[in-house]
Parts: sequence; structure tokens; C-alpha cells
Amino acid sequence: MFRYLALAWNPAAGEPAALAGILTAFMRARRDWTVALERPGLAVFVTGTGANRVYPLHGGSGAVVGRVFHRQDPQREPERVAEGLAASNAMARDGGRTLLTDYWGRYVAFLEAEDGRHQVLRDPSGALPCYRLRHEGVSFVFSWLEDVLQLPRPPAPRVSQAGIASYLAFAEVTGRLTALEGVIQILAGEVADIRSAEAGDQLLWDMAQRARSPMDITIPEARDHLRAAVRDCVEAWTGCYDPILLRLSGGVDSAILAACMAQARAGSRVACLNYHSPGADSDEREYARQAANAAGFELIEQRRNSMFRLEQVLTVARTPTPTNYVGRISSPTDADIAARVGATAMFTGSGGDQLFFEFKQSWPAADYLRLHGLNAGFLSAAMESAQLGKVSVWKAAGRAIADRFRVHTPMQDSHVRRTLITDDVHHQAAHAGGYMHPAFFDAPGLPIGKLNQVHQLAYFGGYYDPYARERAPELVNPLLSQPLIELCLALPTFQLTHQGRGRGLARLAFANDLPPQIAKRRSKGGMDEHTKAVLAGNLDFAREMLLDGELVRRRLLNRKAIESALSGNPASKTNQSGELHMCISAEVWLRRMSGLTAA
Amino acid sequence: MNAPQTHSLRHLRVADHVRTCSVGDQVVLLDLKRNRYLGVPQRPWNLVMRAIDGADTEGQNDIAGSLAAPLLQQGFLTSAPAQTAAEPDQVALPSPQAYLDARDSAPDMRITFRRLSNFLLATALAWLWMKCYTMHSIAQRVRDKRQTHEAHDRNERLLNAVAVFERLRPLAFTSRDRCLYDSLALVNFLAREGLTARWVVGVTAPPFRAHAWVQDGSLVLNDVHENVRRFSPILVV
Repeated sequence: MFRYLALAWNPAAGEPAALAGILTAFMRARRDWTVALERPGLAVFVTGTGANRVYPLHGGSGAVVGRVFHRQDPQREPERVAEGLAASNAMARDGGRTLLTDYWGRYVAFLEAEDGRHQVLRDPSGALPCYRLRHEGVSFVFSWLEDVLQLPRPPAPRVSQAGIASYLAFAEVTGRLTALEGVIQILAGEVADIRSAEAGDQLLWDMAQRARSPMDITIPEARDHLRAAVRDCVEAWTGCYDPILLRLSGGVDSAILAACMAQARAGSRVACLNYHSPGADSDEREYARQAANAAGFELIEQRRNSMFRLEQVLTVARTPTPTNYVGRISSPTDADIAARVGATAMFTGSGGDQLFFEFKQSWPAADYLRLHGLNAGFLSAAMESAQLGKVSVWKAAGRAIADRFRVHTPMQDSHVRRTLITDDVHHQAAHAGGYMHPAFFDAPGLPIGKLNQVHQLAYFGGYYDPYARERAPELVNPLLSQPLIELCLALPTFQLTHQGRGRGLARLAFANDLPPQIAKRRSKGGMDEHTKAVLAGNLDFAREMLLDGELVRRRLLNRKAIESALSGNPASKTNQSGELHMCISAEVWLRRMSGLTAA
Repeated sequence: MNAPQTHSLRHLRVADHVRTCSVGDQVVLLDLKRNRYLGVPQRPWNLVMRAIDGADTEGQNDIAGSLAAPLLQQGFLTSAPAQTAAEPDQVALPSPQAYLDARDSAPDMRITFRRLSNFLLATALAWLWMKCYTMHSIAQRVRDKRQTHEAHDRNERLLNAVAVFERLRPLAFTSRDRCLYDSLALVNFLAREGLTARWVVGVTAPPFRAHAWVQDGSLVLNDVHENVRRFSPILVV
């Protein structure tokens, strides 16, 4: 499991320097960690490199840790990439700007500003986590909190009530503030002063800014750009691993991934893994088989484990924010199968929904109107949007015109009404600014479709698996790569939804590579029945955790609502199993972190 | 009203205008004349059915009686003699296995004047039905539109008709969250094109939801099969 840990301190300050000395000696003595960078007042350590590496910068002034590709030549060998980074004077002095324009990947860069301040830059994909906290005068920058908590004289960050409330309200904490006081997240594309204790750093790469500069190209040009970008990104990542385990759902995104991996020059061996379970839409094996056959890959079909015991999540790793275990129930099986096929990495098609625009709404008509005004093409755009959103063309056009004058309220737009949380939480969530990505607030002038795309991209996928931990294969989401993210932000939504279809442009771009049934597929797999079954099999545990747990005690959950939800009341108007799982995740996390602070 | 004695339950039966369907551990009843759904627990319902059939309720007469009374009062059960033969809309429906992808596959999607006028009339009729009639009357009207003879190139004509309907639909109405209207409009349009397909209403619980769609064999015409598979058919016309 690739991780990094950096320590920064003022060498002239007595006690912090003494503590830093103890900590750096401790880290140097650990054989599984190596020194990536040492400067006065800064030490960076890495472990579990695998496909990742350390890229020293010019004159040893800094280092990039992770995996980096050259923008113009994504297939360039890692050694030559490293040489280029080390040779670049500009890289060492421009605060990371050259890195953002000339390279991409999954990395965190430790830089030295001209005035000698130590800075950290997180790559725009945000694949590698990056947090910062300050303790006894020493600053820590890290990807995995457990590494910090196992140091001598470790910090004991307190749980943030507002942070937990934000998680419960939004199912994710995407901002600079986390659910732990004093633990700050460095956002994707952000550069931060390592020794600062405060949030409020600088976004060098901004999603909303990218989305404000739409490309003005034809559909064939857009198709070709998209195809090239997807292939380049997938090919670059494929070349890093051999063999690879590919999560193949049978949907368009993972099928595109399979097709590109099959054509990649690296020729890495790929085994596909498809999960299925009984239910209306949770068995996509037929589609997965078609995709695997078309790519020439082996397919492993695995039944989802509906007998999963939720007690297993009690040992979740300590992290700055809770992680919903629903997406990780298959972790032990992923790890077993990866080990069986010899794969150290698992690829998924995550990101496709947001990038390729799979939102069944009539927003693209509104986006068209904002960009081009009421011209001859608007009716066609409205018609396609109507097809996409299953509304009448008059409604699509009317909404587009109304949106032209509407002021979007991000908090309102993004806040899903939860049924199990207290009014206090709803109220706190409404003022949860710091816990949400700035894109939810700083995106004026973006049309509604593009705004929603940006919002969805603010939710970073988890690189680490806090449940399976080191056993889990390294997670790689090739679609969520900087070049592709930039392209899809710049392509107008009405082009991304070509012919009134979700992912319309992506379908067009890969029409000849995908099995026809998948290329035209309108349905999407789900696992509602599975999550319900897991909950039903763990009701006692759920009651024990939630009814008189910490979240209820802190007045974050409504006990009566929980009781009713866990009673299996058939008169229930909503399916609450998803929200219950999320609450259990939060409760488990809270108990783990509270145990820490009690010590 | 006092709970009827079990011996008197033998004279009861499910009313002609009521359809039933088991969903999980519940039974959903649909009153077509009042456009109303009711969910009752499976076990007591089974006891009522056993009592109606004259079978032994294993000493649970009170349970059967106390459920039967309100159902009788609300018209879901009746003591009146049967008026009609077995309802034709209780036919078995093949499990949905695929959806019709008309947009890319239809060879003839031309919007002729005839097709346009058929579409407009079909949607207007669907609207009128929903405004003026109960589901019971609507089901009868849909049944009356059944074609007695269909052409040999039926499948191709069905594909073309659905494709045309999908192209024209945005010009007339919003189908999102209006599955009943959309399905009736499609059924009417197909009938005007000389084609028959099944109009289906299905339910699921918990949480309770109802949905309507149009199906031809195992092919879903106006939705994706993975979505309609969540629902148990309660009315098939």
C-alpha cells in the first residue's frame, strides 16, 4: 500500500525541532519506509512504492511522490520522466505550475518556494489523498492517518461535530475541513504551505475555471479528442501494472476500459471480475461476458456476499472522514482474487458517469442557451435534452430559459433531504461551507448542466480501502485522469449527450470497439436488493450500533426515525437501507476515533 | 361492524374489480373502480382465502374474520355472486428479458401525416381516459382495442411504431414520472397502427411504488427491463 508521510518544522524552534528529531529518527529506523526528500526543516518518507516512485526535483529542492506521466508523451518511460523532472529548473521554482501543465498522474509534490517556504501540491485528479495537521509545532502532511497516529507522541485530533453533521447530510466531506478538528484536506490542484495550520490555500488548478472555457468544436472533432484522451490515459496506466484485475460491471465505462486495455501496447495480462446478486438490475453478467469476450479477457464471475457480517467493519482504519462500507463489502473478495491472479492493482471505470455526463436531466438545453443564445440550433438542443430528460421539448426549452436567469444555490442544489438525521444536522449542514468543495460556491456563471458535472467531480473516490487496508489491491481509476477530466470539463454537455443520450459522445467515440448491446445500453446496474439483504441479515447489529450509539447521544440522529427504519415497516415511503448503512459507517468511525481521544 | 364468523366467509370472494398480487410478505390489492391500492400482511390474507375456500384456518378464525370485515366494508371483498368469467387480464406475463431499442434499430421512422395524426389522437385519448375514467373502465377500453389479426411483418412494424412514438413523444408530453399516461398513449398509438401489446401495471414494496409499462412478450417497449423487473404485475391487459 503506497503511502507517504512528511514532517516539517522550524529548525530554529527548540521544542518542535526536538520532536521532529525524535520522529524522523523513528521513521528512519523503520525498514519498510525510505527517505524521499530531506531538506532543512522538512523530511518526506514513502513506503509500499510498487508502481509509484519518488521523482527528485532539480537540485534536490523538492520531490514528487506517486506516478507521473509526460503530457505530450504518456508512454515515456518512468526513468526519462524522472530525468525531465529533475532537469527542469522551472519546475523547482514556479510553485508547481509546470508540473500541472506538462505532466499528469497520481502524485503529491513537495516544493520549495522562492522564499524558502515548504509547499505541497496535490495533483488535479486527487487520486492520492493529502492531509495536513499541526501538532506541538511540527506539521504533518500525509496520505494515511494511521501512519501519523502510530508515531511517538502522536497527535489526538478531536472529532468535529460539524464535520460529522456534514457527512451525514451530504454522505461525503469534500472540502478543506474534515471530520477531525485540525486535520485539513489539501484539495486536488491545490498548493499549500506545509507549516500553516489554517485552511485557505491556493487552487492552482480549478475545475470550475476549466469548465468556464468551453471548446468550440464539431461533434466529429469532439469524438476524436475524447477517444484519443481516453486511450492515452488508459494506456498509460495499463503500462504500469502486469497483471491487472479489472472490475467489469458490464456498463459502458468499464467496457470502454476493457476495449482500450486490450489495445494497449503494453500488453498487460488482464483478468476481469464481475459481481452479481439476485435482483432486478444487479445481475449484469450477460453484458460483462460480451465485454470480456470482445476484449479477449478472462472473466471471473463472483456472487456478492449477502451474508456479510457488519461486525467486520468495526476494525475500520482511522481516517479523517468516515468511509461508507457499502462500496467495500467486496473488499476481501477483491483482495483474494487479485492475489490469486497475481494482480497488485484493480482498475475500475469510476468517473464515467460524471465525465461522460450520465445525468438523465434536460440540463444540456440550458447549457446550450447560455453558450449560444437563442439561435437555430437551440430547438435541436432542446429536443435532444427532452429525449435525455424524458420531458417535453417545451418543458426543456422553458427550463433552459428559466435557468438563464436563475441564481443557483449550491447548498440547496446538493443537499438531499435525509430521513434519519435531526433538524440540528440539517441546520448545521446549511452552514457547512468549509466541509464542501469550493466549487459548490465559487462557480458563478456556469450553466446548470456543467455546474452539476463540476459538483459531481468534487467527490473524490477513495484510493485506500480502510477496511481491507494493506490486503486491498491498489485502486486505479484511469478515467479520472487529469487530461480526460480537463477535456470533459471543456466539452459542452450538449455535445457529451450527443443525440440525447447519456454518454452519447463516449458511445459514439467507441461505437466500433464495444459490443452493440453495450454501446446502446440504456439501463444501469445497481445493488439495492443486495444492500437491503445485507442490512436485513444484520439488523441486531444495526440496532445495537445506532439506537443508543454516539450519533444519537450527540443528537445527530433521530432515534425514533431509526427505530422505525429498522422495524421493516412496510408502510415506509422510502428505501432507507442506503441511509442506514451510511449512518452505521459514521457510527463505527466515530467510536473508533472517540476511542483514540479517550486514550 | 362485527367480524363475520368464518362459516360466513365462504360466501365471500374477491370483488371482480379488484386485482391482487403478492409482494414480499405483503399482498397488494388494487381496486380498479376507485383507483386505490391497499397493502395487507400476507399471513392474515392467506387465512382469509383459506376460510373463503372452506379450508381449515387452524383455529385462527378471529384473525381471518377481523381482516375480512374491513375488506368487505371497503369493497375489496364481496358477497355478491360472480358476474363474469375469469378476467382475461389475469393472463400470465412473460418475465421481462429485454427492452426494445427502437431508436437505432427501426428501419422506417418516417413521420408521415398518418402517423402524426395517430400519435396526436392516441395521446389525446389517453389524456381523456385518465381524466374521465376509472382504471376499471380504462382496462376495458384497452382490452377492446385488441387486434384480432396482425400482419406477418408485425415485429418490424412494432419496432417502427415504437421508434416513431419515441421521436414524437417530446413534442407532446413529459413522460418522466408519468408512466401511466405514457403507457396508455403508447397502447393507443399501437392500436391505431394495427398492433397490440400488453398494458401492465406492477407494484413493489417496501417502500410501496406502482409503475405502468407496455410489454410485448418478454420485450419491454417503453422502459428498460431491469427497471420493470422490480415490479410484480398486478394488472395485465
